[in-house]
This record gives sequence, C-alpha cells and structure tokens, in this order.
Amino acid sequence: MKIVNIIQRYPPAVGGSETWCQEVCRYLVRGGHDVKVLTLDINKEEEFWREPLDHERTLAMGRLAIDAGVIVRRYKRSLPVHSLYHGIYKTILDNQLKFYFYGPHSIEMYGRMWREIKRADVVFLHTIPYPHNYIAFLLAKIFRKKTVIVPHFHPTHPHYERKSNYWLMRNCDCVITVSDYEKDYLADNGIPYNKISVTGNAIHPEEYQSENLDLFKAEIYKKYTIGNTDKIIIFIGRKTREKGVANLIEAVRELHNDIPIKLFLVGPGIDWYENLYASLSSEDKKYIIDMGIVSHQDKVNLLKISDLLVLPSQYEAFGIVFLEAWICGVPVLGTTEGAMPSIIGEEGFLCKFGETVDLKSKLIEALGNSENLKLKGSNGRQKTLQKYTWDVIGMKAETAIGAAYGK
Amino acid sequence: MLTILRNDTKRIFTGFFELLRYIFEREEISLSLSLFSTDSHNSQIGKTSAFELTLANNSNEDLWGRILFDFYRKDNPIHPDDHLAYFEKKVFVKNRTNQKIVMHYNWQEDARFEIDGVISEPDSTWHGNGEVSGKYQVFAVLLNETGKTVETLTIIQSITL
Repeated sequence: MKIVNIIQRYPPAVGGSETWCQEVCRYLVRGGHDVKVLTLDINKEEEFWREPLDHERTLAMGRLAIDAGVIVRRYKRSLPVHSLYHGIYKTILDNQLKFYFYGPHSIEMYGRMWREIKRADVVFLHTIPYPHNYIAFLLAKIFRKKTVIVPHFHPTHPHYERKSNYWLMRNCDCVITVSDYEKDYLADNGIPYNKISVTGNAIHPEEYQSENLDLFKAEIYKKYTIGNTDKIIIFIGRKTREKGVANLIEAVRELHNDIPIKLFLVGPGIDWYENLYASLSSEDKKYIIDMGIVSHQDKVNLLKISDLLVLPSQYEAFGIVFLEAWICGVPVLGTTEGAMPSIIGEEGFLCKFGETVDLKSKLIEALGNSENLKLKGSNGRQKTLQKYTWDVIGMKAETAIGAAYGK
Repeated sequence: MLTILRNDTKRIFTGFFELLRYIFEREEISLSLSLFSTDSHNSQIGKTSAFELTLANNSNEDLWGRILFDFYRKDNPIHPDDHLAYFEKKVFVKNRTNQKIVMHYNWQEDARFEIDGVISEPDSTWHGNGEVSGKYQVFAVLLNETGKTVETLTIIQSITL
C-alpha cells in the first residue's frame, strides 16, 4: 500500500503522537509498504505560532528526511495572519460554529498534498484538533481515497470536544485509538464501534537495560542516606497540579513516620511546583527528593532501584511511564481516571485522583506486601512484552489500515 | 489598524497564489538537507563546537553534494565585515540513504569534517578579520554543481571569549 501520513510534527520533535507516528511508519516500511509523512519543519509546539527564539535555534529541519525507509517531507509553516486569526478563525469558526481552525497551517503543505494524496492508496491522519486533518480529509474524498485517523483524543478537553471533530472521525474509514478507554469514550459519543481499532502505545524494551547499577545504587543510597529497609517510590512526569504531585507529597509526608519512605520526583517542574517544593522543610526534603530532569539511563537505573512508581494524575491518555516502570519490573499506582484503569488492570494499584487519604491507603496496601509488589511488577513486565512493544502496535495498526483499504 | 489590514490582505493574496503554485508545480527532490544541529546555544572561543548535518539522497542514484558551513554575525550578516568564515566540502551520498557530516570548529582555526569516522580538511575555506565573540548565525548550505544555493538551514550560537 502507498500510505501518506499527515501530522503536525515528526521526530526529532518530541511528543507522544509524533513518536507513535514514527514507530508505526517504520513498522509499515518494514512490512513492505511505501510510506510517506507530510509534516511541518518545526521542532517545538510554540513554533506553531511564532519563529523560534535565538536560544532555541540549535536545531533546524530541512525539506526532506529518510527515516529508516520512511520518506519525511517537511513543509514551511505559515505564520498566523492577524485578521484571519481573529476575524475568521476565532469570531466565526470558533465562537459561532465551534470549529477549531487556528492552526498550525502551511500553505506549502496544503498545496503539495494535492499530488501526494492523489497518488496514495490510504491517507493516514494524525492528531486532533489540528486543521491539516480537515484539508487532507477533503482531498482524500475528492480523490476517493481511504482515510484512517488516530485522533489521540483527550476527553473533556475543549479543543477536542467539538462536533466537527466527531464528524471527521465518523466519516473516516477507520479510527485507531491507543486505549480501550478512548475507544469506549468515542463509541459512547457516536463513533461506530466496529470502525474503531485499539492499538495501544509502546516502548522499546531493549532500551531499558541498567548500566553500572550496583555503583549507581551505592551512590544514590549514600547521597540520600537510604537504608536497606527503606521503600523507594518514584514519580516520573511533568510536575504539575494535574499530575497529582501535591497529593503524593502530602501522602508521603503523612506516612513517613510509620513507613520509611524515600520519594524521588523526576521530570520538569513549573513555577507552581517550584513554590510547592520550596515550601517543604529541610527535614521533608531529606526523603522527598527532587531529581529534576535526568538522562534516560539514570531514569532506568532509578526505576530499577525503586519499589513502586506512582502517577496520581487527573488524566492520562495512556501513560507510557507505566510501561517504562513495568519493563523494569516495577509495579505502578495510578488513578481511576482516564485510560489508567484499562491500562493498569491487575498489574498495579488505583486510587482516586485528588484524594490524599485514598492515596495513602493504597500506598500502605502496596508497600505493606513485598511479595505482592514483586508479583505485580513481574506480571507488568510480561504484559508489556506481550502487548506493548512497537512490533505489536505496528502490526495492529497495519491490520486496521489494511481492513480500511479493503473496504 | 489600517496597516495591519493592508499587510494581512497582501499576505492572503500572496498565500493564495503560492497555494496555486504548490498545487500545480511538480516536485522532485533528490538531494536535501535533513537536519542541522549543535549541542548548545553557547560556546567559547577555543572550545570546539560540533555541528551535525544530515544529508538525504532520495534518488535511485548515488550523488555528490556540495556543502557549505557559513558563519555570519547575527545582527549584521554582511560580507566581509561581519562574515567570520566559511568551510566547504564535497560529500558522497549513496542512493536512498542519509549521510551524516559532523563539522568540528573551535572558532579560531580551520574546521575539520568528520564523515563516517574519518576526519578530513575542508575543500575550500575563507576567514574574515573581525572580532569573534558575539552571536552568530551558522548556515548549512546545499549548493548545486554551479555553486548556486539549493537549500539553507540556520542555527544560532553565542560565542564568548
């Protein structure tokens, strides 16, 4: 099949949907398909609306790349036109018609799409609510091409919850979701159930090997005075209110006198978090440890010495960090929100978002039974190897695309 | 307000005609710059910066590409006063593959090129006489056989003493 993908960015630009697109495209190429990606020549999301600042300009993307056989054509992003943005996109399309059309736009990409879509068999659309999906869908209909969309839908988010987005998904030949939760949600909102295929998300297991773990562990134990009976909890993610960091810190503070706990907080912080962490006493900071952003290898080593990964978020579309923990043999604790229950299943624990008392009781339950912890971690690893590698996800996507093409 | 409207109208019309051009114009890209990057925004005179460039050959034939790394002061990119240096190299790229080129430059001496682990000198160079410290635009330029620019990528690096 000739498959043309349309997406707002492509790696090395960092993002969940971008990585998903890259890995699936690489798999499709390995399967003998002719795969092309049409995307924009930008690195960070902020560049949808402005040129990169001087200090951000350490990386520039060119017109064409060959990524493991995938042809990636990058087009110039068109900067917003003031009167179109405020007069048409905002006042008429958004406020009156509830249609998200702000951007990013690319005149070059929209023009070139004509020929690219004309010679494709399948048009693969990525990531709602960006307008490239509508332009590509329209061209696909003109040329009578099959359309597949992977929306990476965020329920309740105002940019996603638009009739126009549901209309688009209803009219595509196939909708691919990354979780059962996303599938059920879309089906409940009018997308035909038999049109939706679930693939999932994935990691590369081979990238999660520890390096010099004994030395790393000895240094960490010494630096943070960790005893052999201490329980190590790790949080990995953006440290925002929505990720439940405040509840986790509160729960650990309250439990600390009863259970010897060390909490590692890994990931970038925002001002809100910096203020929160600064408000902790120096005593608290001895067992609630801010690690900031760490290298991938340090993250793997930290996971390998941890007893439990906790991500008490308000919402996760999938939660790749759960797979990262599992592949290192570490059990996980998430919340009952979003896709987490369907992803975590029996291989972890669930608490209610924003309820510190419930989080505390789940931490006590988890940390109180070492054998059960090890079993859940080990089962999580098996589940990841069976269900959440890129070969598995790519195969599911290929099956879904093939079914849509054969319709 | 009137100025904004006038500018916007001009951009909309220009965009419309560009759109038509892109629709009707046939596109064939054989050799292209894929990615140009450096580790840090900041560097020092005497400290070697590594500039990494990936060149993609999308054709069925092996091709030679002429690559130019060009250093201009950001605020006034005019030759020769604020033109620091350039380094040119001819690079072979096999069909349907990428070729990575790393240029090592310490902001004082000639740059060195690293291709597939082999270090070599530039094919041609030029050096200006101006003050080195400051903010620089670093251009990676793909030239055709006649020396005409085919594609340019730009990054920015700040240099201190």
